[in-house]
Amino acid sequence: MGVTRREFLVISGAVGAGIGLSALGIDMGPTRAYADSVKMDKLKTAKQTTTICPYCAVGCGIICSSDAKTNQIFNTEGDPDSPINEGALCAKGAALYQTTGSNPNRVQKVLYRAPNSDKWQEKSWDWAIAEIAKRVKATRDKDFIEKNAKGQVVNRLESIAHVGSAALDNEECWPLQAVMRALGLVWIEHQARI
Amino acid sequence: MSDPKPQEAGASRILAEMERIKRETPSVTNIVEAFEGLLLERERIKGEIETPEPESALTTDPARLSKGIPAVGRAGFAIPTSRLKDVYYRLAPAMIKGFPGVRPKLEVLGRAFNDGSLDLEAAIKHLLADRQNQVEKIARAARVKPDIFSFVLGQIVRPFVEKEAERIGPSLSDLHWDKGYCPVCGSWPSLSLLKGKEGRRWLKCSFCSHEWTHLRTACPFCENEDLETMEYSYAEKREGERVEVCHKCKRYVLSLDMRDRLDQTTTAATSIGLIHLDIIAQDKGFVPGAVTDWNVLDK
Repeated sequence: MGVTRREFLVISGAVGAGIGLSALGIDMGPTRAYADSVKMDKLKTAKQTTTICPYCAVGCGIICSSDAKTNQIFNTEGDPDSPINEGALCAKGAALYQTTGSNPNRVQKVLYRAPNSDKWQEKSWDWAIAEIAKRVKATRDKDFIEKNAKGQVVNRLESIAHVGSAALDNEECWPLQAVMRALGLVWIEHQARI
Repeated sequence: MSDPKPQEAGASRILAEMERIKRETPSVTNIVEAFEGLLLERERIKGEIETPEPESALTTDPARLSKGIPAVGRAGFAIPTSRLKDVYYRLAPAMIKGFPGVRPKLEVLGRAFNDGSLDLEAAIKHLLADRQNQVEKIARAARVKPDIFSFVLGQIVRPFVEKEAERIGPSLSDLHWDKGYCPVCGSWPSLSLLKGKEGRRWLKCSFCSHEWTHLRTACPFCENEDLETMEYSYAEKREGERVEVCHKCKRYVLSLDMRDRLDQTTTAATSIGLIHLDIIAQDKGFVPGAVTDWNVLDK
């Protein structure tokens, strides 16, 4: 078409502009004073980053705004330019801010409620992981079925089920289901299928 | 009660917006008042311009647009030369009242228009074709200061180009355009607006006022998408008013989050309320992506 981009790009201010407000006789004092007061103690600077919602397999785009000084996220919102969600988010995605380090109410320690108890107890991660392993082993040892009624070898465990989270990616799902099958589980499901 | 005439409806909206700006940002009151008469009269003139018929004959070439070529380009605007002087005489009193600093110069300009020593039609053609040196030549020949002359020419053509953009704009709404410059005339944006429930970003043309969508996370001026090199600033408790800067091209655009507003339209006065952000960005060494009537600041 023989037309360069430059020919259509008109650099800022060419048309009928480019004259200073002071030259027009306008006193800039009050506005400058206000700008200075904002700069002095009210100015905030932020950066935007894009991310993908961690919750499900849809993969909604999210824009996070974080304070340039503290690096703390102060806002998350749907990315209107994402072809997946066009800015919309479900209730969980819309509440993503609650999972960030900026949320003072975010649960950061293991809380354990014993069977039949109405109280939460704070526990360490080491305790929790060891306890899970201990109870899985105890259940498996008790209920493992080596042979079925016909005497056929089945090596299965019917008293534990596993539900995979949609927040898991493909690479995480594979070893996880392999571990579950190694334990003999047959009830292996995924949130996306429920 | 009958509806107001379109030109008065537009002027009323500008007036209402100016009142809002003065209420929310009292420090810019004198700037708002300086431009009040001019913006209102421009809007009235725009409202009086008749739209050519039939509108259905208007088509835009998608192939042209897909190559990044604006539909009209500034030089393509049809400005009715027979009305130029009339428009000047309507705008001049508002400029003389609002801008005391250039009153004598405007009077010189008025005399040059009167005695025919100034070729207004040629000057506007040069202005739209970005031939600034030719504009300056005409101004000097008539003993008029070039910067004042360009400013006044810009005011004269604005009602016509805005009206033309309103006519052309709808034919572009379904066509793909991802550039930071205006799909109608090719000028840079003076405002970035977050609108609608999902907060899409709309850019507003600094020249013809057309609005188009653009990526939220890219610089409209250099197409930079590296988010580490872009940031925005705002005054505490005024989070909806921002200045977005790009460290790569050193340019900025003012931004307004309109999602909480009932009325999601802007007027010619909207960005006056953000001049404090112009000052902050320019003090940091950034330049406006598009120069407007009120963002050339003296230090």
